[in-house]
Amino acid sequence: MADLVLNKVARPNRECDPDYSKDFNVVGKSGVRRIDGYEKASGTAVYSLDFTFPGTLYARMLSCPHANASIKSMDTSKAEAYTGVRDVLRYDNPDPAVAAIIPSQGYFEGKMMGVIIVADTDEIAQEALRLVEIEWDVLPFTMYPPEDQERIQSTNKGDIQQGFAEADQIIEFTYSRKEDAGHVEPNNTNVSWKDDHYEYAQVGQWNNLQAAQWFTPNSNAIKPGGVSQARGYQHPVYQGGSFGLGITLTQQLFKITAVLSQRTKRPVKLLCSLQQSYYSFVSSDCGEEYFKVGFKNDGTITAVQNDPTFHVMPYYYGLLHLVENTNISNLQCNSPSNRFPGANRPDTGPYRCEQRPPVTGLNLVTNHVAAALGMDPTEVALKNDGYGGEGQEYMKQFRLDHGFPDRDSLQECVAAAKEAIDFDNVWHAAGEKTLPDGRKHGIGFAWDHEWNDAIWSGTGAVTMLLDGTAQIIGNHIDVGLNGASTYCQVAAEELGLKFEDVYFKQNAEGNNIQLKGPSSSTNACVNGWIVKKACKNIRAQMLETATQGVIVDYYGGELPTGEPGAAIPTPDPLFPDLQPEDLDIKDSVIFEKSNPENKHTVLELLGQTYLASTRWTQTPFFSFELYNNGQNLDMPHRHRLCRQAHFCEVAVDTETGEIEVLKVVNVNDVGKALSPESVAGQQYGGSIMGISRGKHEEEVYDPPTGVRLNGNLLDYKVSTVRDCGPIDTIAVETALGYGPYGACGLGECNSDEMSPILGPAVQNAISVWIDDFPITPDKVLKALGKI
Amino acid sequence: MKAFDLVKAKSIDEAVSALGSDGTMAIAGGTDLINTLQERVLAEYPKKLVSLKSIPDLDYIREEGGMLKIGALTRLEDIAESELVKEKYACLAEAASRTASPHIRESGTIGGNICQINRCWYFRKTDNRFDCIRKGGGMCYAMMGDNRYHSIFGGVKACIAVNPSDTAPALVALNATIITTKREIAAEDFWDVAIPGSTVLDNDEIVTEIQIPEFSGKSSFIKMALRKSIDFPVVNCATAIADGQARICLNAVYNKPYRATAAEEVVNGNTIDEALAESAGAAAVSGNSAFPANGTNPGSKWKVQIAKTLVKRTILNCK
Amino acid sequence: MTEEKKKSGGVSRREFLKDAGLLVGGTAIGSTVLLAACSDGETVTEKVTTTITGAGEATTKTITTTEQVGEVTKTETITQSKFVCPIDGMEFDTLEELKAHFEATHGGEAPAAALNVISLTVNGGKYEVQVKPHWTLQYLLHDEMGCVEIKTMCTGLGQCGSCSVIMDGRPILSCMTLAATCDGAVIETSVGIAQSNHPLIESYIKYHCMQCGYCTPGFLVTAKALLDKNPNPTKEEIELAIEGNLCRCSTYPAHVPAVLEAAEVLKGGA
Repeated sequence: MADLVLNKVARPNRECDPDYSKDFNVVGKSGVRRIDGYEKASGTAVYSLDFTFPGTLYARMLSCPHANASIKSMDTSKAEAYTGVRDVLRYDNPDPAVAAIIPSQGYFEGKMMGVIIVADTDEIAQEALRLVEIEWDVLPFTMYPPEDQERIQSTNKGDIQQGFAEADQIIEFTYSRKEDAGHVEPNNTNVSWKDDHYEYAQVGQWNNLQAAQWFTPNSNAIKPGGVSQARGYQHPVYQGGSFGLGITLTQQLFKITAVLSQRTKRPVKLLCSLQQSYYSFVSSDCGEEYFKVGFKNDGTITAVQNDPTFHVMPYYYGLLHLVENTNISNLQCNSPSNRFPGANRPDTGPYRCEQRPPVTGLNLVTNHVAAALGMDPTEVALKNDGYGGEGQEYMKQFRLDHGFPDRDSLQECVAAAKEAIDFDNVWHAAGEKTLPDGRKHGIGFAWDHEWNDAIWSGTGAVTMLLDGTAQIIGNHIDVGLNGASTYCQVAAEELGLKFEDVYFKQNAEGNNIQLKGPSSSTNACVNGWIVKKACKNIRAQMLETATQGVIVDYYGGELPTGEPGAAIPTPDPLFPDLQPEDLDIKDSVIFEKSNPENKHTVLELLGQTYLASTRWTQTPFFSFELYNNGQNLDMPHRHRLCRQAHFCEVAVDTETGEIEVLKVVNVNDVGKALSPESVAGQQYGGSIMGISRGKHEEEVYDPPTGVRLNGNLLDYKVSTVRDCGPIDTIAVETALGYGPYGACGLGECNSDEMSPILGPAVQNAISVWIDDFPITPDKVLKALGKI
Repeated sequence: MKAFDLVKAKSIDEAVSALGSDGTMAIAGGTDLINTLQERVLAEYPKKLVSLKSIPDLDYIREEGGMLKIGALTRLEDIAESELVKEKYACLAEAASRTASPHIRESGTIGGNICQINRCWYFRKTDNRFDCIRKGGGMCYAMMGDNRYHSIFGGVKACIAVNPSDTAPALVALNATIITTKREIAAEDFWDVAIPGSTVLDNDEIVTEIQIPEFSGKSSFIKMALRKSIDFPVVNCATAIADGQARICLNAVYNKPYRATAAEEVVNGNTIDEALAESAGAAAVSGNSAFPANGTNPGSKWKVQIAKTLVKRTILNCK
Repeated sequence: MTEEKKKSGGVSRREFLKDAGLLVGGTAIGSTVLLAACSDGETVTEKVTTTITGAGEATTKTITTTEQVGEVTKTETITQSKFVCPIDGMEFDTLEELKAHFEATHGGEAPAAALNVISLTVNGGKYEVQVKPHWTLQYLLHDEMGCVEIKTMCTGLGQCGSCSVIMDGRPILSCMTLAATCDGAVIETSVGIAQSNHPLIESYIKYHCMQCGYCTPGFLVTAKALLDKNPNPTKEEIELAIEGNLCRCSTYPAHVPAVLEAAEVLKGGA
């Protein structure tokens, strides 16, 4: 079987952004007042759930109460007679377009199916739904896939048997995890169908932008003739905690709500229950992964075999991060070949993020080897750091060949992390340190590459306005990363404007002008490029105009400066004797570099040009940019250069099994921190989410019925402020990223790396490996032989 | 939420009278009941709620007649922050301060906390999903399912749901008396009831006051939960020791607060030290019938270990 | 269902307000819905519009007040909705009219409780609201009064802190509180805190206490309640105060310095 990871089409190499070494005025500065800050702090920010079209009807859909069941018969007469009910849609509707969106079988508990009630109020819709009488055909179900699934070698690199033969030692272990997302904003969708166009606002709506495949004629069941994307008007509401989620599901909810709005000729808000929301925002699947690792006594890993078994989805990339992050030559991943057909669990989707399995694998492999050898795990990491089987010499040459600074990212991150945690004083062999209160002390290490997120594509534009300010035009669905402020920092940097003279707000109509990617994951690295390039163009346009007094049309030559019969003067150049390269712009002032007193404001230039050219309507300075760098996952020849290193100190109570996080250190080489506060926020935010998952986040199902027992925020344990310890965040800036100014992605890193870190930390404390996440007290007590 | 009628009682008499009719439930802070109604947990949805919050003069903490008196409508946060309670009845202040979350403590009352419905994720599953024995059905789903948070001392009429109150064990340890509109009940007996009840109260009976006798010893409360806030206890324990006599009460281990008399006997009359506390802990859980792990169900044996440890540690805190 | 039934079902109050175009983006801005707002400020002009919607089943009255403040003209549209008689279902524009009707038709003075009318102070504004017994304070504030800052993560189960408000000085969960029991309550939300220019707003922005921002108002309200009670909180006291607020983005570490700084500003420092 072909190597699914390495045989992808090669993408062009990308060089380092030479601007990484410039003197920055706005980018990278702290204290920029974030653009969404006031709305979010005051609560005036409007989210999809707060958004209601005038005249809205409310819809609720039935949840399947069984792990697997279909409807034998259904009586909706009482619901139809309930005052205030406006429409009842059943799975057996004669219109195939309607029936297609309402399944008659639920293949997991909580599956939305069967019947939809549309009513004047949400309360009426909910009450009427409870009046529907259903006779169920309860079917057999399966929660866990069989062990003898058909497998394929989704990664097969080198010679795995040869690798094991070369090893001094071989270890085997299996880890498992069971966490889901823990949703934020309950799922809801607003659609107002206007016949020739439609408006909508939805949680997770960015997925509609990202994955437009449902607009294609073949998959579109909404309306004969198809739904035109051009006719969609998206209300750019804020998004409650979308850390990646079920793309298919938000599309389905959109389709359903659109049909309801079409039928009732009214706007409709479809609301999901807590359980429906929980099952919508699911994680990248629960599962187990078997590992067999061969290594030499000096810590060099010679072979890794990985057999992942996930409960719903096949996962081909179990060794992705060992490919992209190490010099290990012999790797083999034997993945199930297909989705396990019988899993009666919610569909899965990446939830911060799809690369967690290979990140967990990389870290548990590193730490298991270190523990087996009694080595400092950072030494094992450093020894095996590399790319695609290649080591440090190759990496060094790659950096030099592509214009990157010659810096060893992992060395720098490990050194910074060790200093911050006081490694030499806190590190000890497993089980050797007891705290004064009797608890066992442990320290865990995690590492990985940073996210090479200058991938995907996006478009956007920047325009100068009459008052000398600049506006970024695009559609970027906010998911909390403060992208808008960062883009304005980039624009202000490139244009030479004050930060407050640049602004960006969501653009509702911009179905194609999208500062996107998946806007969360690739954020600054895709969209920052777009803004940067557009602003470079505009800056050149402005300086040329300032020195030559003509309006340059960058798409077709010189613009006319007068009208027939009217005496419109050509503007006098503001700097008649200079060339564009003699000028600079800073703090919204254009000045002569060698004589800063020779200066004019950007506003003066704008006033002059618009008077001369466009007669009170608009300025000529505008630039549209496209950025496209292919698709996700591995990109050969574009190696990940930035690294991260983390420590987590814990105290383990051997009588109760409780783990307390004493201290966390997160060191991320972000290439260039465009917004230091945002970088820190992603570090501690991801870190807490990760530790919370490793510590107490667990889906629990009732074994006999397959019904979820803890689908709420009490029984599913999302960390509070007091559960994950104090965190030091350190940003290393090597400019080794492919983003603007050498930046790289960060949003998904710490949540992935910190999810498994309690494994090595607890092992260091009690000398026993617990690879079954989350590491709850019962597992610690069991590992200690107390139960 | 589904509609119901609401009586905002202006007096105890009005409340009791209103509670006399069928399908009526009392509501104070509301933090347990509203959740229950929103989730449609109960087989029978109430027709009418009687709000007790509007009854005057039931919100107080005072020393009187050689005892501490706490009005039933006193908010948990006020108990947690009361200097008087913190100083003399430390385990109660600590229990109140560890209940649920700060917001819940600002609304939730001590009366409501001790009257809350027993907890089990099958019983509580949305839309009355499991017709369990506590609801009049034929079986306990937790026995056959995932019972990691359930009773370690067996069932009451085959129901293994637990009493999850944090303040209840403190009240038992402090030998409190619960004053109702009908009677005075020793705290220990207050929850001594078979399913479907969680307390011995009649429907038209409400708690008006909690009385705690003068206490001059030391007391301690420890709660173990997976998170430091919001959660109900996995196990909690209150111990009060005065004049060499101990009262030790665990909760979330049985359908009512579980007074560990065997542990008390170990302590009574003896000097407290590590070994004594250890054996008291062991005594507290002797005879337990915790569920073993089974497949994906980790069982409840871990709770035994925690209960034993909390008994030991609360005793040592009273040294 | 039949067309006939739709008619007999009537048009809800909320619905006809929307049909009248009075509810726009966000939720019911006409919060105003069901409310007789106690207006203050000098009214210069007042325009009254009566809107008839549907098949003539319901009416509402829109009052547009225009206030001249210096050069600025402020226009506010208030929708007065109906006060419903609990005995015969007749609707009235004002509480006074309803009371008069009750006295004349049903004999005796109508107790406010019987009319399910409560008085509320929300962010300094006084409201008289007719509520249903099962409405939570969260529903009243968010869905009826248009307070979009009242969030819900756990869907009304008391598990997340997103719907927190300060009621009579206490930070409480509006989802765990029946609106009908809030008669006379003084309520403050994050919008009110912003209106009062409380330093927490700027310190929350400065320290990036928000990422997706969904839970942020609940945190802010909780922090304000803490500072009201304790002007000199320690790091640990701040953490204890916000321990019931869940943030999936995990902004937790940002809140402590933000609250400490706001405390300094309040004391006149920083």
